[in-house]
Amino acid sequence: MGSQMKRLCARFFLKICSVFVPFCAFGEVLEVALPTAVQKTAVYLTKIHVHSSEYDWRYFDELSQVLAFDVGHNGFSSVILTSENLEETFSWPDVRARFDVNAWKKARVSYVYALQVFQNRLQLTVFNVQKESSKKYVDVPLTGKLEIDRVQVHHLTDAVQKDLFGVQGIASLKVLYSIRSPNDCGWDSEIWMCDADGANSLPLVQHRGYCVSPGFFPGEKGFYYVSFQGGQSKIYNSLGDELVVLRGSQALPSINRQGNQIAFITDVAGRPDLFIQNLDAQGKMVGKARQVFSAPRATQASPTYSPDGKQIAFVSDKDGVPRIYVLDVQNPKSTQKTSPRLLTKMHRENTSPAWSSDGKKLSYSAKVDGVRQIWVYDFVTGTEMPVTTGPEHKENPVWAPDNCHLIYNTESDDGCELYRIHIVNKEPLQISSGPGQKRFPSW
Amino acid sequence: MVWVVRVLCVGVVLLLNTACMRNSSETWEDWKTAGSYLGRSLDALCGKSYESRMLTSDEEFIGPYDAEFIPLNHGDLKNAFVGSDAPLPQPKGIPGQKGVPALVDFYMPPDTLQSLFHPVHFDTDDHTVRDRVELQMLVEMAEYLKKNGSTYLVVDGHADQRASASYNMALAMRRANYVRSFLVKNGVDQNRIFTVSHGKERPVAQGNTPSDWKLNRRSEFKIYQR
Repeated sequence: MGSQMKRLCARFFLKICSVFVPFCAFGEVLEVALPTAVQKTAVYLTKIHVHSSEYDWRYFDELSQVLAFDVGHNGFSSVILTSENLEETFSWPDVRARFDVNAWKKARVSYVYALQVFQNRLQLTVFNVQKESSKKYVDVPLTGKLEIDRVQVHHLTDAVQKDLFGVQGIASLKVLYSIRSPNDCGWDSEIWMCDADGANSLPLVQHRGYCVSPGFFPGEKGFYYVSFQGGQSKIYNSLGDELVVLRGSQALPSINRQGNQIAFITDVAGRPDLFIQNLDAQGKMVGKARQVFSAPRATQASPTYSPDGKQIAFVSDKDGVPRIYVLDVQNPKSTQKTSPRLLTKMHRENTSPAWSSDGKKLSYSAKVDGVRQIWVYDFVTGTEMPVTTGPEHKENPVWAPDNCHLIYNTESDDGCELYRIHIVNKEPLQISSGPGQKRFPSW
Repeated sequence: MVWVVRVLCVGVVLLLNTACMRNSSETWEDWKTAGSYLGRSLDALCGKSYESRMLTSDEEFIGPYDAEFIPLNHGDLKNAFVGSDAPLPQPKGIPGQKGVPALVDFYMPPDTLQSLFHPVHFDTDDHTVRDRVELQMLVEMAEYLKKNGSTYLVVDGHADQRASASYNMALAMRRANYVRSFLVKNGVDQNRIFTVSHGKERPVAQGNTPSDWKLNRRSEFKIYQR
């Protein structure tokens, strides 16, 4: 035993020297950056040629703006300015008859969206300049009400994006979020929903207590949220039923992509620990909630599931400061020990993680030089990459289904707003405005 | 034994590394993290382990029939949690049912009891009350609650605005439960104390100075007296 201890001590000191010296000599932190920009494809949108419609020209002007926004902010294409010379190359209504491919090649335009309206139906023909081909899409019936028709336009632009770039667009997504605003007694917080461009915002949960942390059930089966209506925070579905029935407080819920399990933080055991609860197809509790992680003097927060539902990433300060760990959600009859694996090491105060739907990335908020920024952890390379900069705090990043866009909220003295951002182009786009603090987005 | 030495290596490297690169606040955070690793390794030398264990039998899988959730196997966790961090289940009664007052019916203590139910405060990222005056007040609060058995208490946990809203919701939950544990350990019936976490949603000080943050890192109290 004595000689074994001596050997271990010798190894100990050698390890100290071998690890410490390189740190002192080359003590720089390596930061990996994503490529600075994706080369965007130039797209031309014609003016909407109206052949027969009773709707006002201002309505068509606004509809054009909706189209331009969707196409110009999808992360793949940019909309070039309209040109009378290029407009004159078309012959309406048969836009295919005289399409001058050479003129468009000369203008370095890759795709042309030719738009016209017949009898209140929007017709779109998309030209692929390089391939010298075109496709006419199914007509979109217009009601003349922008709040309805813009949704149809979103679906149309998403379908076109799928054809052109192979990635489903995000224009037709809905965004859930909370709006916090002052009232006579202090503060109120309601759940709202809007389109992915910030339009059509409407309240979904009002007068049901202080509400935060909304999220969609997978498969368009409604949504859930946290409310303090009974005094303690509990998790509810959109019908107002409690998703989890436990004593104490429940908060920070996350439902897996299969829709059959919810992870959340609760103090039912006397500490803010990580629990899971199985759900049936109707979103009702099945069996008892299960405690899956606790640690001495530690606070756990913000679980998020991997796409296959077998792992949970969550926040814990068990090692001193909040960092993000990954835990296997094992078969409850397994006898193997489970131990969370530390993911985020570069910065402190890493919070609000969200797992991408392809399982390859995790977004989170990290404090960098005193400001909370959005970062992405890449599971393939094991590296951490910055997405945002700037003086405002940013948190609650959530992935769009295309695994390229994030939505998050800022926090500053001026208020909290919702932003979209492409993780490579890194051009933040504010989509919310108006009174109140918009937070906890989800789509 | 080899694992223990490796953990010791990590702890010492972290401690030594701090002097090379970081500013003072980051250095302190590194010391805390390294200290945590060293503490765990020393505990491991003494036979304690903090790893959570999954269940080992069908009975544990189903859980005791009167338990509302399936707990982690507390065999090792019991040794790890000490003092005010020991697990303390929530009150048996559900607010608003079977004679238990609804939480919305609780109210701020009257003027005559304000000094006894004064808010207590926390250090940054901490969930324990360290101020001796406030700790003494909690002891006196416990005495009052023991003598007045028909008084129920709600402990509200709050955080300042510097960390994220989601993490602060959990940290405030920790603070409220710490105060509850403290009162129970001083003899108060655990079934008469409820906890609510408000995170950083309800600040009392709107500014951005250290004194504002300190005011917001607090637990407040509401009571209900039959």
